[in-house]
Amino acid sequence: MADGIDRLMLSAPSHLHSPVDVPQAMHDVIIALIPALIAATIFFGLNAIFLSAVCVLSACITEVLVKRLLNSPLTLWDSSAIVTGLLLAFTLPPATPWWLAAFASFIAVALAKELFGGIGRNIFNPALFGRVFIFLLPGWKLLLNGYIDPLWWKGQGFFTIINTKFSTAGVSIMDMAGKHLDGIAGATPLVIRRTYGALAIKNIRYVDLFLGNIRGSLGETSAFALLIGAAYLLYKGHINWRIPGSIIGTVAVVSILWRQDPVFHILAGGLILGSFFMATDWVTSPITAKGQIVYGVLIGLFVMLMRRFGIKPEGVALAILHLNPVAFFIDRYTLPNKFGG
Amino acid sequence: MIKLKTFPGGVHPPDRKSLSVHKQIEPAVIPNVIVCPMSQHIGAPCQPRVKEGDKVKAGQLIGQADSFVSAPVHAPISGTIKAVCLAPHPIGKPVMAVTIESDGLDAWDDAIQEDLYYSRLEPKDILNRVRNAGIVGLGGAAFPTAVKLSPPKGKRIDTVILNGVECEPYLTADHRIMLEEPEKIIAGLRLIMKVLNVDRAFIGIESNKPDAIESMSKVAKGESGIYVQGLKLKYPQGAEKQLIKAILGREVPPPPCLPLDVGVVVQNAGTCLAVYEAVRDNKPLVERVVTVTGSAINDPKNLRVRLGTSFSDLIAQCGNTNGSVGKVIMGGPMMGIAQHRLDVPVIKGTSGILVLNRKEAAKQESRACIRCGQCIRACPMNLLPNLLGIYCEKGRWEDAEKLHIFDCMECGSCSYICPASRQMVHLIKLGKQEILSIQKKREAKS
Amino acid sequence: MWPSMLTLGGVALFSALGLGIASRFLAVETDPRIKQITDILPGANCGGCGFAGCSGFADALIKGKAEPGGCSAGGIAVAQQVGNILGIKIESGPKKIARVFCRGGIRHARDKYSYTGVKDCKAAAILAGGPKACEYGCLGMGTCLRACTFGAISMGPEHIPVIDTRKCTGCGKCAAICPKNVIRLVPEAQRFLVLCNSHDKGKTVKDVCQIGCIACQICVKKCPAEAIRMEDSLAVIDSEKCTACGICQGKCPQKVIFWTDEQGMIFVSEEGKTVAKAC
Repeated sequence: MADGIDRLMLSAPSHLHSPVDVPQAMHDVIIALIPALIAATIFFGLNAIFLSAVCVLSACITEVLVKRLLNSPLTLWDSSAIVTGLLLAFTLPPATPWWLAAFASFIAVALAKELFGGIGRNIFNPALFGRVFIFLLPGWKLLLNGYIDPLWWKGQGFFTIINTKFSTAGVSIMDMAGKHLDGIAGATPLVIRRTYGALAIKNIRYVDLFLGNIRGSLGETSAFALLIGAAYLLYKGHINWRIPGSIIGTVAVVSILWRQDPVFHILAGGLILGSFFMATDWVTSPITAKGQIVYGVLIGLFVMLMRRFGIKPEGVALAILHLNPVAFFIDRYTLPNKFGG
Repeated sequence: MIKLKTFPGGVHPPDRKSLSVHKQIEPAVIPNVIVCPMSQHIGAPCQPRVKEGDKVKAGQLIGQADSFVSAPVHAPISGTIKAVCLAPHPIGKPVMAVTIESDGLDAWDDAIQEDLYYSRLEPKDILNRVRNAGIVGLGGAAFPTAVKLSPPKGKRIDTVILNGVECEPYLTADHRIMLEEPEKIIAGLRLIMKVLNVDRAFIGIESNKPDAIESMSKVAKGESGIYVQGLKLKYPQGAEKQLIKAILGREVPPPPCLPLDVGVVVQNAGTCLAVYEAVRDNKPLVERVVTVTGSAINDPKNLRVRLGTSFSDLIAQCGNTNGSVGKVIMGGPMMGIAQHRLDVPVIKGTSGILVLNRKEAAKQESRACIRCGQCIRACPMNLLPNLLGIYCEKGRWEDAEKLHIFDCMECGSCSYICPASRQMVHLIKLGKQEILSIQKKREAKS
Repeated sequence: MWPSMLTLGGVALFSALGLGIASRFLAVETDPRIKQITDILPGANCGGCGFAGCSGFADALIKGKAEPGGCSAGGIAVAQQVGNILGIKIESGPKKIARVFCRGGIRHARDKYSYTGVKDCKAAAILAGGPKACEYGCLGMGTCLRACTFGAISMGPEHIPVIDTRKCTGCGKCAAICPKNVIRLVPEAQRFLVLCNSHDKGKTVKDVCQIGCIACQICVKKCPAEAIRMEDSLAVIDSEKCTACGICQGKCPQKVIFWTDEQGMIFVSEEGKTVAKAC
């Protein structure tokens, strides 16, 4: 042996490794979600940050508890719980009570992720699972009243932490001090359109839909902020254009076929959030290139069908959840042709 | 501006060639002891033709095999045969080798003479000189060149591709010879084209070597039928099949098919140089350019080394190591073989010796597959590395075979890119070994 | 409500009728002995017989492609019962179990390199024969452990596998899968064993392991029954000649020779004192 050389290390090739690993990819997702978080704070005040913090904390605590219970090694450092919590918070109505948000986060991590075997083994997107779960609970209609006007930048309530109370009389939105906040709750643009028809949304301007000055879930309103984040993820190579492109493309085509406004359909609801951040989740989406396009088209179709014929006009979360288990089969049938035929 | 071509898939590891790319090729110090393994190539190992105590001259034949797919071995230095026995080999287990003790004279065999009329040689005579010189593919694969240049009857070759890509990080040997001896390389290419009766050749060089593109283009301009093709910087562009796909758009069918089945022969730049020297000077393959580099080497160099020099000798000539040494790799970091002892000899396929420090060599703990699909996008052979890895892990050999595990060329792109640090290449090597042994058992039974 | 009940009931009735007809007219004829044999077999589907599970073995027996003694897991009792069904007489032979012929664990044997890779002995063996400096030594990554379908193997503190001889059925899966041939099947009755696998010369053995057989040949010379011979620098005890006197064990300078007792535990004792337990 040459001087000064201790026992050498050996492994199979390759001996270099790309700097990207799971924690790094997760951190990039968190960075990509920051513009949307800022937008949520601008429109809905400090409450947005409060709810996000509750969801993230609940997700992390749940992961540690469940892993301890199942005697699995802790993997909190891979930051996937933080991402789940943050994404879940973005799908919730701004006036969701904090305890319900924490519960949704618990369900997302404990049921949809850990019970299936942890990261890499889950079939369903955990954030969407948690969100839909609480909407399936009895009384979900009450939660629809959680959509409030964008308050803060209009000059009111930046520091208002909302504390929605449910009672037999209905939903009362109040702040932590107990003061009632009236007249701020209302229906989202998609619900308005569904209930009252195309004319009713004529007053909603595209620029509002794009920037986020409308009612909707915390993270879904500002297409602008979300697209900045999505551009970052595309640049870093963590997502590719196939899934979001095919979802949005399908939605546009179907809405044109139905003589509805394609721009409205793309900007309203959780489509941008879902296409770029939820449907592109590594674990629950197909791995083949052709499969990803098929997946996107199917999600797009599902979304439009839900928006037109579904009980609730919001379809993105359900569309993605329904197609998550199908992703595996799509993979089976869209294997790439091997080199050389 | 040359239009750059490429192939689908691949990854972008860091280049790291700046450590040695500006270092002119120097001759390495001729060592006192040389160990010449009888197997330095794909094919039948050679039988020693000398015994202990014999005196040999540099370039003299010391080992030969009777089969067609083989390449003879020659003495790299003059001296006395010290031993003919098993000796350590970079492949990891001992191999029969001839150990020569130098007499300090570096006297060459008389047969090695310049033949000024080499350009008048018939193709079959050129081929004979290539075969007798023991030339093998110097890109690392070490396939006997004479066999490659003898396509079976009925296979028409229409193009030769000169592989000047050197896509592995750190390695700069081919780059330097293209800068310093482009005329000889292209003369060697001409000889190869003559043997195969081909009048068209492409020289593939990646875009990170603009000076090499320029130096080779200058010489190629004066030759008819030889074109330089720039290629996009991507690993593994230097792999035969990917090179053919990028330059000509043809896909080589899976094994047992070879590039000659699509009418192409690919030769490494260093091999072309060796062919020229073999045909012109009757000089056998006894030395080659090796890049000794890495994060833990004090003075990286491109050395012209006599085969059989030990790794430790060369590392000493490059200022020795600095800091904590993690890995010593023969070849490049993507496909090279990590060594556990440094008294192994340089063999015909040794394109580089990489000494990586502990930090760079450290590997993360491998975890469960997260189905991100990065490996599928990276695989240049359109395979499903994640599934191959999982099947091999679980012992599902039949399923792995159905997924074309033998098409895998073990380029390492999948292991490189995997965010969960899964060791796909290791698992695939295991899988191939198991499937072959199962097949052998089955054949033995029937 | 009624329409849905009737529909469901009707579907169920239809399916039941269909299945009944199918099982009557579309049934595949099978030899009734296959089920008889499958019932006798242990049912662990260990594959030790070389066939796909117990039913596969039963199938092969009927077709004459297997011997009744092929199920080593079931032992002589099963072989005789199977023989009865097939009308073949079974001779009894000695029971074999698996033994680990290496004690060179992390305390005694050094590594030749630091390994990062798949935690599998076969995979590790691809890289220059494995991280252990001794070319013949146990790699300790547990491939045998995972192959055992009877749970008879556990990993000892020295990273050498420990076999629970009460659970071992001698099926041989561990022996087949070990890339170093360190685990082998030997007659259970064999009392004294040389627990080393190395055919290296003594000097090499001393360089890589503290407790390997160095081929000093003391045991060969001292054995009163001349039951020990050297096979390529490794001492091998012939179980048929061995009288279990224990002299070899007392004299071995490397403490490589071990003694088994009825419970299957392995001790080494020098002049009657327990000096060490095989890990």
